[in-house]
Amino acid sequence: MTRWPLRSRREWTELRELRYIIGGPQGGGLETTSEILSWAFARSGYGVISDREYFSNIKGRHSYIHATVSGAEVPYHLSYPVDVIAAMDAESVFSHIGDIRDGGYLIYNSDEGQSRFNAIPSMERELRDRLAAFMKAESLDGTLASVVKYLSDARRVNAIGLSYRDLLDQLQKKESVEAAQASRYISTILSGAMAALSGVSRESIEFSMRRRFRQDEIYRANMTMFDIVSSLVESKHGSPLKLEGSTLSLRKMLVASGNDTVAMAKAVAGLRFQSYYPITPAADESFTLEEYERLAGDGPTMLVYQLEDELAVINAAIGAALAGVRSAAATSGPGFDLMVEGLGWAGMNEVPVVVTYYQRGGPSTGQPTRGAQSDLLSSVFASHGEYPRVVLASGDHVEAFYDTIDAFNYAEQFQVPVIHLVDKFLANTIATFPIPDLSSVKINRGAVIKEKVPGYKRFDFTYPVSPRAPLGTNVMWYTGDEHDEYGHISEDSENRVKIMEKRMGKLEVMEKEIPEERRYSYFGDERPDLILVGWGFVKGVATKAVSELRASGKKVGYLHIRTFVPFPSRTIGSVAKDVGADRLVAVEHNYEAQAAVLTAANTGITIGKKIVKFTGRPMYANELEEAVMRVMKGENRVVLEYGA
Amino acid sequence: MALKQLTPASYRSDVWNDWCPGCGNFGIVAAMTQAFAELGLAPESTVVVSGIGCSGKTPHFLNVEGIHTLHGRSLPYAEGIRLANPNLTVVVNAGDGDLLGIGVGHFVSLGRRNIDMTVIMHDNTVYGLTKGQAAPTLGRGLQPKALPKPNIQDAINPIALALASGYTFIARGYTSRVKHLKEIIKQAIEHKGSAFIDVLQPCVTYDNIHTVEYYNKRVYDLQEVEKWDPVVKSQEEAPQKMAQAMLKAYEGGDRIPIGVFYVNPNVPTYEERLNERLKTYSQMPPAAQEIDRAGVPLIGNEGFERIFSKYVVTVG
Amino acid sequence: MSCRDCTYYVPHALYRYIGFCEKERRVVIGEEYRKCGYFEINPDSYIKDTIEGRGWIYCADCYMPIYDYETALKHKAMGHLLTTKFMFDQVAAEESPGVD
Ligand SMILES: Cc1ncc(C[n+]2csc(CCOP(=O)(O)OP(=O)(O)O)c2C)c(N)n1
Ligand code: SF4
Ligand SMILES: [Mg+2]
Ligand SMILES: [Zn+2]
Repeated sequence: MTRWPLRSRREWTELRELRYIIGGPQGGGLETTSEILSWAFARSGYGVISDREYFSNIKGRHSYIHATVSGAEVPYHLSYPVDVIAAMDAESVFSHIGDIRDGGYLIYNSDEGQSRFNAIPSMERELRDRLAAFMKAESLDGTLASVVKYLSDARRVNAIGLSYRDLLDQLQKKESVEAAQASRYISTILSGAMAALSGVSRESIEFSMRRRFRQDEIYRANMTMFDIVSSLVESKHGSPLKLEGSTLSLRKMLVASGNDTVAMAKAVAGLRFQSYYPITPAADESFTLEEYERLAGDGPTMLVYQLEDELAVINAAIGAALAGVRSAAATSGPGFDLMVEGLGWAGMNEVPVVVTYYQRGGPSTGQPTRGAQSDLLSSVFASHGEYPRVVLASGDHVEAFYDTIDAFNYAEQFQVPVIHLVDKFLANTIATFPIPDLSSVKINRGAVIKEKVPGYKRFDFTYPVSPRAPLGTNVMWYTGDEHDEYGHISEDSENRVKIMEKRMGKLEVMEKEIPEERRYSYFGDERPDLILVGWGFVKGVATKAVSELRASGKKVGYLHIRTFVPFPSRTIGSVAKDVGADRLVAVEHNYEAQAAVLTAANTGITIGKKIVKFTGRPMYANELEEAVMRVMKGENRVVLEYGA
Repeated sequence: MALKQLTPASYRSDVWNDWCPGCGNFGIVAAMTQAFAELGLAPESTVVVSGIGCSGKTPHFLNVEGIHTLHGRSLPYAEGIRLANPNLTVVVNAGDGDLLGIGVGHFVSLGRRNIDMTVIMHDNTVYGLTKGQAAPTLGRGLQPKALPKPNIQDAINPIALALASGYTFIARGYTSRVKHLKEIIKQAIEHKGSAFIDVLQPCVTYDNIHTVEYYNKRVYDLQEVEKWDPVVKSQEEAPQKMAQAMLKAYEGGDRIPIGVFYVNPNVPTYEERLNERLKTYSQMPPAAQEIDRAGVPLIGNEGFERIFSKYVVTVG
Repeated sequence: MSCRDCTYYVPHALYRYIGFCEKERRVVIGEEYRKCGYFEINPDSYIKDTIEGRGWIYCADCYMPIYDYETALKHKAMGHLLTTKFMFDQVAAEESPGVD
């Protein structure tokens, strides 16, 4: 079990990868620092991944950004310990004492030296108890100053104390600071210090600030603050965290959150109707769609419809789909639960509708702002009765982009509801990735009838996927009751057999039309001794862990599942045969290892070894590597729990 | 135009109607088909959406686009359909349990939007299809024969709730007065905005209280009330017209008003609000838009970078 | 001429051969004629008035609603029983299961 606090195992000599944490009170400007830095690193040609961890709270609780920057690869993993922690407040230092590497950097507010950990009301009791034990063990008096001293002495951390008050004062002498914008400048203190330490160019920061602050005065004041801080820090400390020059070939990239990435993909896919009810971490996607509702402004639009609840959301989306438009709903666990009956109606009536499912910790309200992959079984089995559906799961931003488009294509091609699984990790992570090449993107609307057909039968038995006429073209009926070819209720046994076979027959069609290669990807050794089997956001960290382990001579691989219905049974079957089922290790963000459950259901193969994490925090490369080593030494189940 | 030849019979399907012999619902089908014929609605651009219940079967008996949805959810389906394609005429048939019980949130919410469609509520005071339990329209103390004990919940007043929710056309009809009901349905369909019709519909199998005889004795037409004028001429007049409608809604005992309670043509429809925002909604609603050219998305590389320029970073 | 032709005869919804006599207030057999002294035939305008007023009439023999006058006349010509009203019946309400 990883104990808190973590002691670093590694020293950095040359900096190929920069890891940082920026911490502060929720609502205190973190988001801005994260964006400014991500854009600036991108502008300088580096790849960035920046995860945001926060409480289910509007203002005041500890929130932080955890990022990796690299010029050697486009990073998609997070790891500990970090090179630098930039703290807006004392709580951020207390919360991350164990996260900083020996010899790392700490930026903190020197005005808060006398703050005591046990006088911070926003801190959770459990953390306070752990800190109390730690302070006692290390004979610290509990003040920020004592912790800073400990870090400097025992951990060789370079502590950079800045008086945030003085810095604000200095700024006020030069620029007029609008009260409502005051906390922006705290963000900029941190950006300035970070930029100085990591040697980010002023030009890159200007670029970011321009994007972030459209208003001239605010832009200028922030640049002034930036200059004050960066020159101060640089003159004292230089740029010890300057990364090696980037070798990435990216000249132009997208820098976006997962929410925004999915929204952009929906626009490309031809989404014309999206319904939603606010829920974290899904709602931002609908906001973005609404922001871009007029698309190019020359005609086509996306109608974003906020309804009274998720019962309404799914059913309105289905209604729009019946009228022939590409429609979707975006939600998270509690909302999806409410949608389940509607989903069954869509299955019964062969309606192409997409549900973008942002998983968060459950059950119930669970961990509303924390990530999870615990809704896989629910997605695959949701709703009573039997009906075909497609279930896709995306591992990173790039996959999420293309999977979103596939989701609409599959929905229409097979006339089924498609559940597209993403999660909070992806939703709130800002990542850099190549601009998708749309010339290779295809829109497949399946069999559609637009003209009037005498005697039209919506559920014509001659096909498993009967041609679909939008409402407004032909008279037709739909019903959630079992029905005949016309869509009228029928309880006849023969008819039931025929239509069940027609509907369920689409599973076979999907099995044929969705190629096996599309259902998974594989990274790593060609003849591995051990294969990690995972899905979703595990991809980034698993591929990283695999490449690190391979670099140290281990023969390992990562099998990434991308579609759960239809399932890559053939591949997993042959892998299990070649490598041995006992050498498969499920790696998932849930308690049970749900993909392993589905593997057993689909293939009869039991994956007995599991590495799971269900704290709501992402898996970190360092802990996954360590866990894999433990499994290699014979452990069957490793539960990861690192992360503030 | 071929539409001229449409008769009520053109709007009836050949599906055998399995409502109980004598059920008030037949009057609703009769009135709807008459109204459709008189309005000359094209069957393929007329959509009847229903929930679950005896009332939910209505679309199957009609020869127009028929969407038989879920218990309580007819309105969201109808909203999705109508907003995706505002060239369709959308009529909802739902039970009182459906609309005011399990689906009451949707009922209230539609009023806020004023989407142009017509909601016909089959008000039979019971849950017909599940064998006569109390619907939200059943008064306290009443005990239709399927109930083991008298009802101890109060009834929702559908007209009052529709008023409070913001419906802009509110009326009540009665299944045994088909011409009256037909006229109301026609007006409701022609009204621009969300129209609600509470239809008194005797359930001959489970409700031995609200029978045809019961209603025949009590029902009177608001038209007979001297100087009754439900129409809001300008928005300032709305509170007063609403108040008079509210008084009529709560008229109790032996007098049950039917007819038009309230009409407010001054509230913009949701479609108009959308057009204001999207600019091209009226000419080019979602269902009329192409999304690809021969399988190629409308948004190409160049368009993508232009539209989403905020996310594009050029290394510099 | 039998009870089922009489104005006061209210048929049972499921078993057409029995009905309720509104005058004698008891169950009667439709095919019989009881020489009760109340017998009366619906006026010629009955079907037309019903369809105009209610929008439909039900053929108790064909077991279906009829919405237009011409069709109703055809059923009438075949001697079918057309009505909007059925016997008050407790059994169906009790015996029918909930069905959704
Ligand atoms: C979610 C759900 N709950 C319960 C039911 C069972 N159910 C079917 S019809 C019905 C009541 C119908 O009453 P009402 O809406 O008044 O329609 P009516 O039959 O009276 O026309 C119920 C509760 C269902 N189909 N779905
Ligand atoms: S149960 Fe009542 S509402 Fe339902 S069909 Fe029979 S009479 Fe009509
Ligand atoms: Mg009812
Ligand atoms: Zn007949």
